[in-house]
Amino acid sequence: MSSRFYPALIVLGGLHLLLVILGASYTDLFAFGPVGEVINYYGEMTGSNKSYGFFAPGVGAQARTRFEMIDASGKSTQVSLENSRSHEADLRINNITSQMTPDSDEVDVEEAARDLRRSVAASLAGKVFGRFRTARSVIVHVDEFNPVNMPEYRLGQRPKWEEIYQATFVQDQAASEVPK
Amino acid sequence: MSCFLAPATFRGALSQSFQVPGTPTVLMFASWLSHLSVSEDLAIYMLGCAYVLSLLFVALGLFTRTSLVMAWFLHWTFMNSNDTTNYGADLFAQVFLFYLMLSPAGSAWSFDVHLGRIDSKPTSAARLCLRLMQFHLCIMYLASGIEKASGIQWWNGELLWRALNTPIYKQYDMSWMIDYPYLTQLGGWATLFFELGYIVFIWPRSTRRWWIMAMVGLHLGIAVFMGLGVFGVLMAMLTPALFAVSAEPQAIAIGAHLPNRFSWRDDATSAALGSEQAT
Repeated sequence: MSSRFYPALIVLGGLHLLLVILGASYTDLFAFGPVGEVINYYGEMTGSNKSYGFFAPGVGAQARTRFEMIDASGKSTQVSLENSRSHEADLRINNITSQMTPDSDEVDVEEAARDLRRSVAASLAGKVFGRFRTARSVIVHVDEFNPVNMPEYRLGQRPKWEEIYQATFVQDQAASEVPK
Repeated sequence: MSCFLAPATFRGALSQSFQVPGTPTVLMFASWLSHLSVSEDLAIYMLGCAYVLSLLFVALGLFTRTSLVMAWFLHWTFMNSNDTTNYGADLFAQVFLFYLMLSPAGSAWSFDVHLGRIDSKPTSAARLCLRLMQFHLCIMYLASGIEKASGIQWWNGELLWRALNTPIYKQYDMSWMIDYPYLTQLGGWATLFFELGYIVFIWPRSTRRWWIMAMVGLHLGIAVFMGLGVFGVLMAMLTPALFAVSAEPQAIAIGAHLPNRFSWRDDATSAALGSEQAT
């Protein structure tokens, strides 16, 4: 690299780090109009517009999805899309499931949240239909994990799963939903 | 492979809800390839294989720059394809693939050098990229520490208690910790101390080794006790890789032809940037 360009590269590097700082401090780049949009796109490409709030300010909500597959004879079987062979893959599936919790950041508009939740449930049910060809209907259960803090645990309370959503999907028929 | 193909969970209209608008996605490429009678499944597998191959070539240092461009672009594409499946490991992989793509990463320990394809002489670009990565890591730990410190769970010991006993992260029965609350509290405080202090104490030679050991320990602990293997190992490697090596190239005389203010020999700049030899 020619030394002529070195100062310019240092300036570019400094601007890149400035974007890292803006991203880490949750600055809304879209507020700066079209220029902000371009900068944000660069941030998306480079990962420099991201924040770093891992486990901050605390442990987030956890959810799980259970699938109840019912075959032609009416026999019910519990199945899962998480195969436990790869914890990383299970984590990612769990992240998708967390989109169906009511307080998820991604679904803060009630109606949109319902639509998205139903679409995600239908998509996941479709996966189950694809994996288990004998399935005639699939009931999707979404549970939210209710943790207990240390004082509550000492008093005998225990963490538990609470069902927050249920939907039944039948092949070639409309789904019936039971929001909790 | 299942991790890489997780973005394919959603297809069609629903997939758009989880995509980053205006960015390349797996389904976009699948759509293009469909004109060549390539099925969606096959297209996804092809992209997954190309991603793994590019990473393999990067590891070997073979056609390093091209492989890095391909690895970074495919990694970004997979991330865009289903934003909800991403977590910290994906972000840091994207960030550092980008830096490596711009740096002369293939100039050391690579087949490219062995085969005489590229020169192994130190360059000013290598140092600049190293500094960018170091500063980025410092900003990241500071921001992470500040956000953690704003939550009561990190101060009263609840965070470790909950994290280690939450089903998705739970690897071992850690319920015994209820009898030793000071342990979880100490763990929370130590994390805050090392993350908030990183930007200051990673530079001086006298404290650097402690911070390197602390960060390796912290992230290996996350890998072992929370099952976040990829994230834990990736993060455990970053601090030693960036700070346990000297920013000064072995062939110091290389910079002799540069203006003094940009020279490798510029001791003032080196000191200001904390580029002491590794201890």
